[in-house]
Amino acid sequence: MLDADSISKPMFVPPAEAVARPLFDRVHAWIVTVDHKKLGLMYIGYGILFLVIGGVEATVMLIQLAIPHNHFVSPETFNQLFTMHGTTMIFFAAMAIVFGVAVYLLPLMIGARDMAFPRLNAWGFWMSALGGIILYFSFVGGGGLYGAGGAPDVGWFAYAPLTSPAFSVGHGQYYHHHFVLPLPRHDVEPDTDTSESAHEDADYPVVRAA
Amino acid sequence: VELAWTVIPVLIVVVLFLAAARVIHAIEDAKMPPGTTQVVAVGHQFWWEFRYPDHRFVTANELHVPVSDPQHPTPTHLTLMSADVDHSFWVPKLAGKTDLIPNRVNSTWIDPHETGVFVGQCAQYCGTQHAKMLLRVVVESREDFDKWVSNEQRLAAEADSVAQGRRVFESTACLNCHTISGTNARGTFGPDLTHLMSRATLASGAAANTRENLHLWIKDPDAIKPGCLMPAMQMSDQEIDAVTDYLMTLH
Repeated sequence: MLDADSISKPMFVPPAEAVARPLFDRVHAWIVTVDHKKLGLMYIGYGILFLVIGGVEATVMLIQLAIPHNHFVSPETFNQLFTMHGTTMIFFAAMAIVFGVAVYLLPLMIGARDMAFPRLNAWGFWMSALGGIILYFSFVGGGGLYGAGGAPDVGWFAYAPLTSPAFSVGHGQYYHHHFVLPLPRHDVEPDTDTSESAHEDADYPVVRAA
Repeated sequence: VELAWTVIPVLIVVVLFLAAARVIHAIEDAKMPPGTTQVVAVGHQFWWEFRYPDHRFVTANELHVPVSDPQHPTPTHLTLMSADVDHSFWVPKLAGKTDLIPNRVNSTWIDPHETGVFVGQCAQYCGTQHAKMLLRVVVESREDFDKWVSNEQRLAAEADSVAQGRRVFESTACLNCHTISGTNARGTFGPDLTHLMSRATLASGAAANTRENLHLWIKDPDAIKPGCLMPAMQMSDQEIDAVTDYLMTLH
């Protein structure tokens, strides 16, 4: 029963600071988020991670090139390094960071509540992440089941016919042109498809006959 | 005023386009002066084949051309083709890069005015040993060039002292890939060895052409050029010695 005294007294209100949610919930919230700001930050973080990986690859190449006739890495490894470095820096570092900034800022700049199709936005990020993981898996899985490794080694520009099975032994190259496919931005790199068309005319004539 | 900002840039672009088109036309459609040396260069993983159709012989990795006189230019015209993947002919001191593309015939020309050896390099990534796909252009006087040509046109030297090496060469897989004119070896996958000893380098410029290097190259090509397409033939040391002796006579 209420009396005047209890009404005039303030009720107990818990302090305003938020109770930290359990770690699992917080990670889960980031994973399932469709918030453009969170996705933008995730894109940028992802880009910075691959910037570091690409930087490590560049460092290894520069060590190799520091003195003539160096034997720091084998020719095969060096070719894999510059292919992976180029691919990483363009598709996973530069594009991801630009994407992140755009995804973060654009809705704010035009006063929208979020990106159009926020779930598609989240899907795009996770497909990019999958692409990066699969591509890097090729270092251990690209040569087959022996764990010998075989990252793509045909240059990030991947000109046919060097990419075709006749000249690119193993299937490192499949990683190179399939990792792009899940990405929402794969349409900007039509030349990765050349290896596929090269399969169709793999037995093209060579200019041997004198 | 706004119209001027549109019209003037358009005029500038048109004028520049016409000027550039004129220069391109002058370069692309230039008539070859009489005395032009014709060479067909074929890129292979990872070496260069040079054919001299007018002189009817084939060599590899070291291109010899006559020096040209600015008053009466006798340039060298190169027809560029590829046997496998994209390559690029690049001798920085003589000309810009021109790609060798499978199923397409490109061309370029060089007009060197001084004699000497000019080094070049494949400039389009072509696989594992792209880095050691080197080439050398030997620019020499007309007399020296003619002397070199007439030597190249000869059949391979024969000496009885190295008959055993020749027998090994012709009875093993060597002849599948290499040509030595005047013998059964007519392979075209690897460089022509008819006048191997007239070249200063082995393995497309990867090593000096010495007996030790040649021996090592036959025994284990990967030791000089890892990833090259020449296999180690697993011959006995005796056989390798014999083949080396034989190849050493191919001047």
